[in-house]
Amino acid sequence: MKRTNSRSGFLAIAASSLVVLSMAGSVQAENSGSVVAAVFPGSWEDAYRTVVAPIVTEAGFDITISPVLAQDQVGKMMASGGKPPYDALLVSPGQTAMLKAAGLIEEIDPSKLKNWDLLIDSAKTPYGPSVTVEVNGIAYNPETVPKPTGYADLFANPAFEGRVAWIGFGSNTATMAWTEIAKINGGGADNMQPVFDLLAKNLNKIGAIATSGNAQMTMYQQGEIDVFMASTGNVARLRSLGLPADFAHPKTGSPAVPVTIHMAKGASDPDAVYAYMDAAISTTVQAQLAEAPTGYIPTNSQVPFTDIILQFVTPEQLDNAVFPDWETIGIHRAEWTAEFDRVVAK
Amino acid sequence: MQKTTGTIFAAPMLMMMLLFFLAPLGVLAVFSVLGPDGEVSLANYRTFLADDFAVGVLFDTILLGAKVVATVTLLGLPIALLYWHSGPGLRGLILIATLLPMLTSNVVRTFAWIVILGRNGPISQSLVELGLSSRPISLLFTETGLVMALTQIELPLLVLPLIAVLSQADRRLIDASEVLGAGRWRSFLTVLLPMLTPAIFAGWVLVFASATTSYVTQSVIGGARLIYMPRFVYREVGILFQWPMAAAISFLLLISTGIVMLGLTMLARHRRLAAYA
Amino acid sequence: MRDIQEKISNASYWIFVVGLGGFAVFYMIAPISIAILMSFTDGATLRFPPEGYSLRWYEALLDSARSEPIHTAAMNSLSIAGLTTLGALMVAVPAAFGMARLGQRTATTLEPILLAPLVLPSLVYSLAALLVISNLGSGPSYGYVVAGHIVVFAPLMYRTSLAVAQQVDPSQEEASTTLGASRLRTFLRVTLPALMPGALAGGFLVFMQSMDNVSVTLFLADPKTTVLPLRMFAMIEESLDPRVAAISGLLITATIVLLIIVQRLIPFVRGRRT
Repeated sequence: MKRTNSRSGFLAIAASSLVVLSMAGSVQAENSGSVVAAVFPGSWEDAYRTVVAPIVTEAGFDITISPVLAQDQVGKMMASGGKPPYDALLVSPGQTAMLKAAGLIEEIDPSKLKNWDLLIDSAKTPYGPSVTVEVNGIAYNPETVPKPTGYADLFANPAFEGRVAWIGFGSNTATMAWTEIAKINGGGADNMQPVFDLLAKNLNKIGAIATSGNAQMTMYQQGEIDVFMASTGNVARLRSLGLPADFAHPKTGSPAVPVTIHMAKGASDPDAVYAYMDAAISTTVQAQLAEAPTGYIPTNSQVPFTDIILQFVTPEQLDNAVFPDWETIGIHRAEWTAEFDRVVAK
Repeated sequence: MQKTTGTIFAAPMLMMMLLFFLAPLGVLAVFSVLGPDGEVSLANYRTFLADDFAVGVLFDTILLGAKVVATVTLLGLPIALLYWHSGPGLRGLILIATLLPMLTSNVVRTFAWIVILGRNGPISQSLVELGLSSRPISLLFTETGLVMALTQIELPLLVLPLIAVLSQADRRLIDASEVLGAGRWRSFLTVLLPMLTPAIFAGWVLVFASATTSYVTQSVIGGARLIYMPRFVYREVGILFQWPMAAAISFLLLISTGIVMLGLTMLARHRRLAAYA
Repeated sequence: MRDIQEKISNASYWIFVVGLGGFAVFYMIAPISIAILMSFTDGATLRFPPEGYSLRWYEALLDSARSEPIHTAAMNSLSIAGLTTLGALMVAVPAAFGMARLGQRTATTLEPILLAPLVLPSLVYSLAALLVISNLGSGPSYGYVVAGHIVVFAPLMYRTSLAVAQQVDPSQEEASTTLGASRLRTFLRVTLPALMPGALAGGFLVFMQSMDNVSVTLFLADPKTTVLPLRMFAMIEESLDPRVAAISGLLITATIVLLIIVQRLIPFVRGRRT
């Protein structure tokens, strides 16, 4: 019967297309020669995907760039019972301390990195190479607000009322800013209460509490806020999008933080991780990332500070930068994160 | 004979549910009563319930669900009635208008609301133009905005069951009541409403469940200052990586939403039996 | 007097139904239309009304150099949804068939087990699943995502199939076997076609829900298994990238097309003139 035949035909086609669809993505064999690299979401992820990944692929390895914040990387590594979700991590000293203590990262063998000797001394750490030093301060819109002198200015000066965005302790940038603010108000890395008191008092004058650093960038673009805690890289990115943006060094000192790649214990292919590290510190990559739109400060001694970097920070200013006490911060960070939510909740 | 074939065919899915759905939930329950030294205790629950903030989050979540259910009902009943009074053409259109949002991705529906509720969005612009506000206001990151967004997203969950009932209903019932002199409202309240009640309760269960657990919408539209249970649960796992505490919190979410829904379902069954009494 | 009262009463009824009802229908679809309109924006940010119209974001979306992660996520979502639908088909359709055969009492006692995922929040289930997986020494992966999806969405397939299965007349099967057809043949030629419409409707629902799922995938996926809704979520949170609007436009169109196809197929598959 014709109808039955066409019906069986249809069923056959439907069934086989479902199967083909399923096959398309499910062939994800655990092949050696691959590295899953955690990279900060947003411009870091874009930059690493376009600049670093091709070099790793050329070296013959498969690379997956996975966007995830530094603190969340620690969370995921700690929560994983068996194999680590990432082979390579991208974090700052605060996270490094936690990961080291939990035995989740490997000491590396510098002889496996052909670009190791090109690094400046401070970038050579036992657990991996630092790929940049982030200098943090205050990003502001010069067309709508005056240049802030420092953190205290943001709370005291009425010109900033309703224009500033803040985020919680899930972000390294924010944590450093809050630590400085705590110091200004009589606290420090061991006492964050002055900050919570300050927040509670000023909640209605604050522009917005955002969910993440990148969310702040979006709000800035949409004109919802004009000031937020940022790195020079963030400001370079806003400029590249054609938006008016400037960087202000807080008078108490600009918190600076190195960003380092680590190899996770139990990485599926260490050679792939080394290839990735090598790519990230290579002269070509570092030179490209030092240019717009990223403007990352290079750790490769062969790469000079570019114009776009010099607009925001000179090597001298870098020497005067403030380096936070990550060990003390690390002890309290989880409770600060929870407390922040409580204070800002409506 | 039928019974054995029946059992054989149903067995795989039954086993799958027992092993892969109910068992993990059981493990979760066990973990939630694990104290710091591994002994059985309700310490986690006590910590949660003693924490005003945490209880507040739970309460706010349930309240959010209730608010969304209320607004969905307020808008959903008229749609159902519109459907009832329409001819086949309009009925088809209403059906499509209901199905389309339901089949559209949750994320898609949420992002549209970001623009709608924002400072430069159509709502803000209209309010300014109508003179109801002196400057642009943003409904983003407010609970009002969140309820508005969730209402649109969950509306089809109530309307669809209502339409399903109405499409099978007998027109002559209403016609009869009208012939006997009842006004429109009377016909609605005495004939249509009892018929729709089971579907309404079914819709309420779905809407409540969905609204309270919609992590994406709550995060995107609610923002960092409006915290509900899903975000709270996710945080505990991601930030504090403590399984027993996370287990306890999520179990509380399960129990509290479960109680509400069980109550609604029982009401539905009770009413349904009463309608046929 | 009563006449006027009645007129006002009726008028208020119609305002309620047509006014509020009409508004409500508009409320239901307006945001989707806005999403589609915004996808054609020429500007760099998402605004309504859009700044100019163009296809630039669709181009950006389809450009595999710029949008490669989105393509990977989409492929993953499609394949997960495909596998989930197949899995749901294999367990739920037989289950519906079986449950329809069992006595009333057994069925009502057993059914809640099969329908549990429909009333319990999948967020809590996903956490539970992750807990079990982690404590077994394993970790999130593609396979677990598929398994989780099948468990959570199979009840949908079961429900649609049950409605149909309950209408299947056992005497038809008896007739077929009495007339000499083997059990297998009866199953293929009589039972299966009868169950098709339910399976088709169920398959459609399962596929769509799986494509859109966030809660299960959020907990059970490893970094390699990126899925479309999560990618879109990230794009919205981090940059309000206008490509999200383009993705939405494509998804909505695909849904409409799929819906039309499924609607046309049901009478065809039933094998009878409706």
